[in-house]
Amino acid sequence: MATAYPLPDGPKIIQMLGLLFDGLDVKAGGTFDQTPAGGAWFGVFVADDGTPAALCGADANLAATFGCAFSMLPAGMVKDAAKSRDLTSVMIDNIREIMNICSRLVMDATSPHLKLDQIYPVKSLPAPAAALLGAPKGRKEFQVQMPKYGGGVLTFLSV
Amino acid sequence: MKILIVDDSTAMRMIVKKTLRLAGFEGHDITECEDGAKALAAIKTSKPDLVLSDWNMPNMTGLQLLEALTADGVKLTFGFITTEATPDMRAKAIGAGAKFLVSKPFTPESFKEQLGAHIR
Repeated sequence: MATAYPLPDGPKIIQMLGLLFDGLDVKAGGTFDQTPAGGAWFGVFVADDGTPAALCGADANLAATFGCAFSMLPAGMVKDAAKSRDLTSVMIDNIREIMNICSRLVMDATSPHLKLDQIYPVKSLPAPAAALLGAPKGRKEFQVQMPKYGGGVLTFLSV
Repeated sequence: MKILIVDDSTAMRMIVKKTLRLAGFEGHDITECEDGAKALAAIKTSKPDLVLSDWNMPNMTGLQLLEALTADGVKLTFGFITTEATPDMRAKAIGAGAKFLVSKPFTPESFKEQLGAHIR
C-alpha cells in the first residue's frame, strides 16, 4: 500500500547514517519488539499541522547502541543500558540527534514536509503516535550493526 | 581556508564535515557553531572565509545571520545547507547575498558541484 511518506531502503539508511557511523551495516528484516516493556525508543515525525505522520523506532539494543556510539562512549555501556533500559541524558540526547537525521529518510522531493517533534520511550508514546504505531499504512524493519558497539532493529512507519 | 559550519544539530554538523571530506575538500580549518547568534560572534573573532549555514536555527536564523553580517560590512562567502529549498527561500537567500543553497539530503557529488567554486 502506498504511504504518504517514503520509507527508506537499506542503502539509503547506510548513505545517511553511515556518515555518522563508520562501518555501519544495514540489512532488511528483523523482529521489532514494540511492547511497552520492550524498551524501544521512537522518534515521532509530525506534518505541518502537528499530526504524527511517521515514526522511526530503535529497539532497546539499538537505542543503547545509538546512545553510546554517537558520543563514542565505552562500548561496554551498551549492554548495561539495553538490559536496564536506563539510558543517561547524554544517550537520550544522542538518540534525539539521530532521529532528527532520520527525518530525512522519510521525506523526498515530492513528499509533504515533516519534522521531528520529539522522541519517546515506547511506553510513553502519546496517543496519536501510539495509534500510528498500532495501524501504520506502511512499515519496514532493518537489522543495524556497527563495529564495536553491536546493534539492533530499526523500524520506520508511515501513515 | 577557514570554514565555519553553523547548524543546531550536532549530527548534521558531523555529516557536513564528513561530506566535505568525502567531496575532497580536505586540509581546511573547520570550526562549528550551534546557532546564528553564536556564529555572528565567532565570525567577528575568527574571520572565516566560508560559512555553511542551516536555515532554521534557534536564537538567530541563517538568513538573519547573513543579513547581520551584511549590515556589519563583513566580507565572506556565505552559503546555506537546508532541509527545504523552496523557490522563495532561494530568492531570499540570493537576494541577501548567499552564493549557494544546497538542500538536504546532499551527497559528496552535490557538494563538489555546488561548493567547488568557493573552496580553494
